Amino acid sequence: MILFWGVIYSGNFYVPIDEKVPLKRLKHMVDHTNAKIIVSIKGCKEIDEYCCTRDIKSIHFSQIYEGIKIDEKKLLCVYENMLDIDPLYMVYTSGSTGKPKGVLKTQKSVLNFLYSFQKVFSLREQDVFANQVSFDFDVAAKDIFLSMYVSATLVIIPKQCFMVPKELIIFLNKHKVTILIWSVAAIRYVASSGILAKEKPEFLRKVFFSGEVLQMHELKEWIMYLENIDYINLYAPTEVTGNCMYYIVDQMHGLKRLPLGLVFPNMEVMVLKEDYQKVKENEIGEIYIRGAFLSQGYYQDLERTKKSFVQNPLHHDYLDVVYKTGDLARQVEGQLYFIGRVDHQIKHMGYRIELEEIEQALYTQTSQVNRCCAIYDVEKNKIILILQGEFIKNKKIRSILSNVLPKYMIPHQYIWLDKLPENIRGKLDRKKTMEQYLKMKNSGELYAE
Amino acid sequence: MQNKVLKILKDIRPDIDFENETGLITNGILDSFDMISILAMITEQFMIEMDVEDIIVENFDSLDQICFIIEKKKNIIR
Repeated sequence: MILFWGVIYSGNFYVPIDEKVPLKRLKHMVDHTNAKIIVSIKGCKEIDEYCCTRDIKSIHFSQIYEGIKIDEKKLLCVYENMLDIDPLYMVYTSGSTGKPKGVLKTQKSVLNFLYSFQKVFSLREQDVFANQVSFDFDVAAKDIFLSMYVSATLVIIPKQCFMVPKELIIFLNKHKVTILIWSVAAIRYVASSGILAKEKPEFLRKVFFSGEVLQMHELKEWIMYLENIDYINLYAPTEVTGNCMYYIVDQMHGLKRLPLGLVFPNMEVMVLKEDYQKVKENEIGEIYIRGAFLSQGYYQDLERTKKSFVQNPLHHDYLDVVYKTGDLARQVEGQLYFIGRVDHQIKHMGYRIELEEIEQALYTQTSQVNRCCAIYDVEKNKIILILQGEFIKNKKIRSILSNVLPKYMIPHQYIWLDKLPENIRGKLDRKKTMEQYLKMKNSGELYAE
Repeated sequence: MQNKVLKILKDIRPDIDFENETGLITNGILDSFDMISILAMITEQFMIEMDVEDIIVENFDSLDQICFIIEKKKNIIR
């Protein structure tokens, strides 16, 4: 946190990177960002060596305090030259070419989001936020900036607590936590652990979640034991700062799934069909977003930015940029529901993953695999990799992949086929591969071992 | 049984020396992703149920402790 604010006050923008990210991915991010300085909390020999070769300054956090003097004049000078359209921070998100994309957020988009969010939810100075998601994940920006914006307290939950649910509740109560802004994965984890039946977080006021679709039965587990709390489903792609839609769960009965809900002030969400007509009852369309929370697009990738940040298809009268999300929604009884992705992107453990990225990563690391197809088993929350080629042990593939991919992208199960389904042009047929997997799963073939 | 448990653990984290490591949780060697995978695998393969009261540091800090809690759970089912 001190680092983030340090970078901001220096007039630069920061890129948070998880300390556990594989070195290769880290190198890609650093090269792509063109970073001048890396500050590491723990200090790592490999990073130091790498920085030497690239002429990047590597600083360990503990060194920063030594002999520090604050130059008020310089600070004022930076402050006076700041523009709200300049970037504040950048987060990386999964990309289909096998390389992650950097999404740039401006000061303006953050400030606008904070203002609107506070207008809707009236958080208080006495509130205590408990941070769950790691800082390289955009959900954490709400913890970082929102808590500061309302002068509330922010506590960081030790990772260990998420392995031992009992300790998590003890932690929340010890710090009198009132606000949770968590990933759906964490909400689900607590629900399925069964801890709420035994121990309760006593001070909670509002629970926000986002990242993927939370199932009603998972939410019911919370509501059953913790009644008088606001539960809020938040929606937005990484390309939008914060969130653009919210749904406050006020009544459970009759609700089969969580709708996307209302749009934050100063934002507009349009769901358009292929002919750019707005969807009517029971129709599916793609979500387009316009308004002050939009990010500045992808770093060093104007081409892709132009593809997703487009002129409002409803008029050509003046420049009016909207973000084309690739997310599909259906309108039922006036409410919008998230349906899925236009492409093959999935949400897993709260992270957005392009399945192709996993395949590309494996191809770059071994020539033994001729072809592979990553699919997502929604029912089991598992990534499955189907492979064709010279057999490699599970253990080996796992270790190959973990050199280049973050943990949440590593497939859970590996299935070898003699041949993966192809379409007429000899391209991998994802749909058929998925069908074949489901057939194998349902026939019980997969658990023979 | 120890071998079967070891195989499960090694499949999830091949880089860890489970036979000699005694601070899997306290030393931050495993993370929550691992823990979820481990719980899913052992409950599935040994056909046991893990109660939230069982998921405490003292039951998952070493290979021996994990084997012990599985054994205990299996006996309850019988």
